[in-house]
Amino acid sequence: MLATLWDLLQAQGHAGAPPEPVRYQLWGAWLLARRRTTAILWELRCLAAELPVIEGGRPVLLKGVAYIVRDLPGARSRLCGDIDLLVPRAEIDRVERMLYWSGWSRGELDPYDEQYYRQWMHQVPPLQHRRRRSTLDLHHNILPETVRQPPEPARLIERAEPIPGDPVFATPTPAHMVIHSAAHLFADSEWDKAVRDFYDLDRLLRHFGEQHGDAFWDELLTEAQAMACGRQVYYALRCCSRWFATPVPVTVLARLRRFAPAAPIRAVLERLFGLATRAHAAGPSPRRTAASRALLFVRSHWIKMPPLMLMRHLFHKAFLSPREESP
Amino acid sequence: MSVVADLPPAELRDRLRGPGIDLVTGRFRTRIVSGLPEVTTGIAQLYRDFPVDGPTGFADFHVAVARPRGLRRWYRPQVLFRFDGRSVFKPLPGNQAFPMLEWGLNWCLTTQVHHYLVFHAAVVANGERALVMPGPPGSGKSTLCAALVTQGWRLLSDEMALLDLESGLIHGLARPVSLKNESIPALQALAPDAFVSAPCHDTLKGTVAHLRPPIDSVERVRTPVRPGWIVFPRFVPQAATELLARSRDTAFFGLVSNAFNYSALGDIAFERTVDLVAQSDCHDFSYIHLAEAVARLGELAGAGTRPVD
Repeated sequence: MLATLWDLLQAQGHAGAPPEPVRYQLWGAWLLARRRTTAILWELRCLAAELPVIEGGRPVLLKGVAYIVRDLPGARSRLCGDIDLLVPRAEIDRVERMLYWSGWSRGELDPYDEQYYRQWMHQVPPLQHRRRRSTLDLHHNILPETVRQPPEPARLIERAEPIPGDPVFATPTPAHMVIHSAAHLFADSEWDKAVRDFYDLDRLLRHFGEQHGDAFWDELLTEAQAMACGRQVYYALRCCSRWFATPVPVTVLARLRRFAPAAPIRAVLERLFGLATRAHAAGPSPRRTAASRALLFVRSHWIKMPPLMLMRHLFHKAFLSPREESP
Repeated sequence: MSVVADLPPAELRDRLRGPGIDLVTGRFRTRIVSGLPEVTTGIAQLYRDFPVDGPTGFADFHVAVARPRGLRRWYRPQVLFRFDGRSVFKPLPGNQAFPMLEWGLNWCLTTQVHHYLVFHAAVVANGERALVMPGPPGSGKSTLCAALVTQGWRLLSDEMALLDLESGLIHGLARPVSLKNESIPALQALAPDAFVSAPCHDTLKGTVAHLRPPIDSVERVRTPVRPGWIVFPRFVPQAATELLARSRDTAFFGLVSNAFNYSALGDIAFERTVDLVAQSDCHDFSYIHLAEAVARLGELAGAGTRPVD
């Protein structure tokens, strides 16, 4: 977020406002993000040459890298670590095997984790390029297979839009970008990065709302229902409009209300989201933030796994997985 | 702003334990919290002339050196270095609290700072110009740096060169110089009056002690210097002291391979490194005897700039 902050300060003409040491840290972060963007674009060119032809639709770039190639506002100052790529499930093993011959392989995993990834996750274990050291997350869905109502990724791949001047990749439609971002945030356990994720959503909603108006909001509602992500989109739009004053039309919020959970649950969860999102510059997070994050971590597991499987997973992680060496 | 020496020992101890102190090294402000006596002593002795205040306002780094919770607080005690509340290294034996603070501060600068191009190099200055000595651990750059600063050179850093991305000038920190194993007695023989802290034995790097920076270097720390000479030092037993001109292209690659954030910064790092090399006389230097090495580098500085290539 530091690089983003610098971008915003410059855009508003306030770059000189912060004290010198603060300015230097923001600028340094911006330099890093700028360089990372260049590196990611170069990496995409290499990857394009290494990917096999894929049956059933172009490979779809997800999240940060999609924002970069679409040149969305702020994408270039958003620190983007690795490439997220979505391919049809039927093709994923073949793609991974073919990439292996170009130098992509995954790190050592213990057999349980390996099996777990293969059977239940929405991606294969992260791949790393032997020489370039870049990492690639190869997905076949946007959420794990174990959620009660897994989304239908075929819809996202079919409708994905080719990138002008790029013969290989596509990016999700505006509605699907928002849905993916929301699905990821509310089903995931990384609440220490939530400020950035909410800010991503805010930027996407503002940008697409301005560009496409009602057509975008209509499509978002239709697709949220079709992808079984109504609940997540509901939370996303509600939290964004409350915290960032994102201009979400009142009628859209009203139409989303049918995806809302019962009022008491909603109230508790929204409070937790708020607490867990707070960022603290230094020192350990205060107890309330830490506790909210812990609860949401439990919730994310609860959403992602049926109870019996969750028990089995926790048992394995507690007693059977090799321990990290304690010093 | 007062300096560490102005604080009565009890006050320094209490503030370090309580809210912490802001220690100012060059352009960086570090907020340090520690209840350990080794840390208090180390700061009092080695950072004696450094500005201190706070904690107040913005600090670049928030660090703590503390005992771990649980058994290892009491039984064969250990120390932890915390950055923003998180422990970033494996714990070390309890007596190594001060070296751990120093290593931790180096870690902060080499991993968290991106508005400078940072090289793994010792930097001293003669007049207005910097002598940059890049090299991996073991090349003898710290020892040479310590020797030079006891003989009148100004200390910028024994560990990292901070190259300003805008001005191309080199900034210093003037922090204590780390000495290892045989270099401790060697330096004491060369400069019997210099203050060297009590050695800390059996660390990962062997026996470690620190040289207190000359007060003059500490007071001038905020004045950056122009590039002058780049010398790649090598401590070679049974060899003659030898200073050989090095071509600018191999000097460029020598610098890049000793940079911490060259690839993270990209094109701007390339341009600044080219500028740095273009403005410097470049040499390889093998040495064994400290006094001889200091004399040879003094001649180099006295000779002025020599056009190379």
